[in-house]
Amino acid sequence: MRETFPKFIEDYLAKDKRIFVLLGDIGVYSFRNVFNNFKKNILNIGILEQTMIGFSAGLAMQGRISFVHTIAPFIVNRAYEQIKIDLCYQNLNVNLVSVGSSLDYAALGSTHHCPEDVAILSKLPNIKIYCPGNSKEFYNLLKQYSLPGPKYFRITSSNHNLNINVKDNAAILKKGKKATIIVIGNALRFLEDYYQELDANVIYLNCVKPINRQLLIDNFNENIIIIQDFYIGSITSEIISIYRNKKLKIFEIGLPNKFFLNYGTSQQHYNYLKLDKKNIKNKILIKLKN
Amino acid sequence: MHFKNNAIVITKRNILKATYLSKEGHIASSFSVLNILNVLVKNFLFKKKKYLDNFILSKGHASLGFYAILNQEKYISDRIFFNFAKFKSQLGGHPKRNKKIFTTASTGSLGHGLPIITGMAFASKYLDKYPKNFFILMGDQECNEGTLWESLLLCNHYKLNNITIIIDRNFSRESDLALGSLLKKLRDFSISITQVNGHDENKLLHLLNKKNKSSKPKIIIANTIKGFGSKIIEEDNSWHHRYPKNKFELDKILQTVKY
Repeated sequence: MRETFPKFIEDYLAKDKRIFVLLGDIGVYSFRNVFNNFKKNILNIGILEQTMIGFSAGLAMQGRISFVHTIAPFIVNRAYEQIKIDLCYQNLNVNLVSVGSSLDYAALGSTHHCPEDVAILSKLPNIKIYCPGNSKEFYNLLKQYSLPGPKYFRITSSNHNLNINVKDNAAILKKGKKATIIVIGNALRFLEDYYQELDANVIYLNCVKPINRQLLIDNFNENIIIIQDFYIGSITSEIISIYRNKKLKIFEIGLPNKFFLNYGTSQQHYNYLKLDKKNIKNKILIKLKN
Repeated sequence: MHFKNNAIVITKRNILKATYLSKEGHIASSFSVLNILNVLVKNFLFKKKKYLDNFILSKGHASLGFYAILNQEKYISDRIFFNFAKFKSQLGGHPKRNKKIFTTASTGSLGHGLPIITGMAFASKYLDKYPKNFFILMGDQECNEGTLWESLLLCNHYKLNNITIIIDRNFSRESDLALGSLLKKLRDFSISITQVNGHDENKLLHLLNKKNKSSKPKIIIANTIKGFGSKIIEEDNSWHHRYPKNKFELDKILQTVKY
């Protein structure tokens, strides 16, 4: 998914000179073609994330559309107030593109993990939050870059392998009776081999704010299973608000709210947390039986 | 040293009345920057009555001072001005981005203005057809925030000599966290840095008009007195965020505004 981003920028800078890229000392090599061909429209601005967000707001005020890129915690955590005030409060068109979501940088430790990005950003008004599930979806979602207001794109190192016809940032993958399963972005990789066997509505989302409410309303079931590759609870309140006045039984699969103190690979973490295809399938089947 | 300026005295009295009506507003901070804002609004922010969209009040708590000068110069009506900080007012205790009231950026949380104006000045200088000059007014204690130093690095690296930074040096919290000599600390970031009496409008105008021949931003350290104009407010720090509680207190404090 990571190489999709510079590719998109190259493709679109050729036709839209409003685009401006700000790198927080990350991905400089992968943007080498942009540096060579569009040097007026890209900066490696340095390691000053708070100022980088304010700077992008200033560019937006002058009619530019920025893409701000660095590692997730350094945008989301370090510059949260700048995102809130400079971008959301002023409702400026700036695109934040993070890399290293959740546990992608497992071996680098908790300073470089960011399983809370979706949860904390979704509390800010005006922002849109995209969770692409693979490169193709990411490229298509990036086409929404010129929509007004701030946007957050979450690049993940893992992806699903399905070719989904996503409409209004969501899709119903299959219909069933026992539950409504909501799967977000790259978490679909846990289900891609067997979701057809499940007697449930399986809904796929690659944008969690704004969420495709109509699709969720049309496929209601009081048993809800949310499957995500970030902290459990990140979008629960939004789901409850969609189904208000309804009795719900919500079961969530995702990352527990804790620091992940081991190193190694992210795959080792997911195995340790029993977040793998087999374990998740068993958990879902038990829920569907009850 | 006091500079007789009748219009400013009336504007200061209007600020007091607005705080009395709204029970909101930072009087002392507004008074300390009023001369600076007077010079900026009259000479640099408007061309043929049209706002140039080139100014950020980064010490947002002085919003009432900015709106009072705009009212004095008839850019904002009395009806809008004296509705300050009411429920449906366009004018808040901190400014909110709104072209109709000549407010480029929403501020209030300190340290947000300079990164934004740096981005604007960069776009103007390197990407736009018609480059323009930008102005920012900051508080001295706002210099505690790291974004000042981050932004100055960028201003220097990208040669943003189209920014003028005015620092309201009123020493309001010098005893708690000393900034010491800002002139010394900031000189490396601005060759054209100068200090001036922030209540001397002629000298301010002269410095602001002076062409910046360097490749770095212009910095003006404007030495001011917090609450300037009223001895009571100057001497009593409790006026930092306080409003006249009743008509009697309002009348009493109105009498104290002399310059």
